[in-house]
Amino acid sequence: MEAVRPAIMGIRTGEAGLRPAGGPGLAQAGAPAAGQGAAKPFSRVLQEALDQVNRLQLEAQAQVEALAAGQVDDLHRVALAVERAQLALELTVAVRNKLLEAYQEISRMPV
Amino acid sequence: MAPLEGLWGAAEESLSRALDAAALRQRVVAHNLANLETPGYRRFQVVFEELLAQQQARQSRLRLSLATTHPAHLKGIPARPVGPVVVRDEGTIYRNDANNVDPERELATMAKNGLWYRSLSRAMSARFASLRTAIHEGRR
Amino acid sequence: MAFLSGLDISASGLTAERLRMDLIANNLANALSTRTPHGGPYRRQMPVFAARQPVGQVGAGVEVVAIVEDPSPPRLVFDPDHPDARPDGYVEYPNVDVVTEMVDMLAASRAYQANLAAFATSRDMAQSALELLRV
Repeated sequence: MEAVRPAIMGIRTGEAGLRPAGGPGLAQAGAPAAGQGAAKPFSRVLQEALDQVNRLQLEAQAQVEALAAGQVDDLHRVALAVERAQLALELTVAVRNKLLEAYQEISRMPV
Repeated sequence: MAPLEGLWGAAEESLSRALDAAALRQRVVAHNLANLETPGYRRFQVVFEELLAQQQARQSRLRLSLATTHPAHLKGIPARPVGPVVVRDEGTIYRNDANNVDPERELATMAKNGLWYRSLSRAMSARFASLRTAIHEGRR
Repeated sequence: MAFLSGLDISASGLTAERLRMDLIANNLANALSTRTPHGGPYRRQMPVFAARQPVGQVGAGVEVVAIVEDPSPPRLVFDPDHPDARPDGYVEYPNVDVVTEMVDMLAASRAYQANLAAFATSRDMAQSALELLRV
C-alpha cells in the first residue's frame, strides 16, 4: 500500500466540491505533505469513508421508511437524506475507481 | 476527521436548517389562519433568520480572533447548530374577541416564506449538482 | 398520520368556516320562522370555535366544539292576527339580524379564502421539496 501513496497524491476529485484551503478532502488525506507528523494510513481513511457512507445510507433508509409509513411532515428531510447518501456513495465509488486506475497503471510499469 | 466532510459543510447545514425553519413557519401560519376566527386565540410565529445571522456573526468574529500558528491550535469553537423557535405573540390585540391574527400579515408572511423555501430548495439542488460535476469530473 | 400535517391544519380551517357558512345560511333561511318542531320561534345558531391541541411544536388547527343557540330574546312584533301570536298580541320572531349574518358571512368567506391560500402554499412547498430528489 505504501507504493500507491504517491499515486494517490495526484488524485483530485474536483476543486468545486471540496474545500481547498485546509479542508480535509479525500485527496489530501493520504498525502504526507501537510506538515503534520505521521499521516493516517489511507486504508483507515477509506474505512472511515465507507463507514460514513454506510451511516448516511442507513439514515436515508430510515427516512424513506418513515415516508412510506406516512410519518414525514417535512419532505425535504427525506430528499436531503437520500441525496446526501447518494453523493457520498458516488464520491466513494469515484475514488475507488481512481485508485484502481492508479494501481493498474503502476503495475504496468516496467521494473 | 471525516473523509467526506467536503460534501456537507456549514453552508449545507445552514440551508438544511433554514428549510426546517421555513417548513415549520408554514405550519404555524396555517394554524394561525385556521384560527382566524377563534375567540381568544393568540397567534404564533417562528423566529430563525435573526438567530442564524447572529450565529454567523459570532462565527466570523471567532474566525478573525483565533490565530493558528501550530497544527494543535483550535480553529474555532464548533458551531452549536441553531434551530427555529416557535414564539407566541401576546400583544397587538385589535379585535374585541381577543384574537390577534391579522390575515393580511399572515398571507404576506406565507407568500414570502413559500418563496424562501423554494429558493432554499433550488440552492441545495444547485449545490448537489455542482458536487456531482466535481465527483464525475464533468462527465455525466 | 403526520404526513404533510400543514394540509390537515388548513383543512380543519376550511371545514370550520364552511360549517359556519352553513349555519349562517340556515339562520338567514329561517329569519322569519315563527314556529319550530320544539316550539317557539327559530333561534339563531352559532358555532363555537376552539384551537386544537398541539401535536409537537405546532397546533393542529381549529375545530367546532359545539353549536349553540344565541340566548338573546326573540324579536317582538305586534300582530294579533298572526297564527303564532301570543295572548298579548305580540309575535315572537327569530333573533336573527340579517345585517349581522351578512357581516359574519363575509368574515367566514374571507377566512375560507385565507385557508385555501394556506392549503395551496403547503402543497406547493411539498412539491418544491420533491424537486430536491434527482430522478
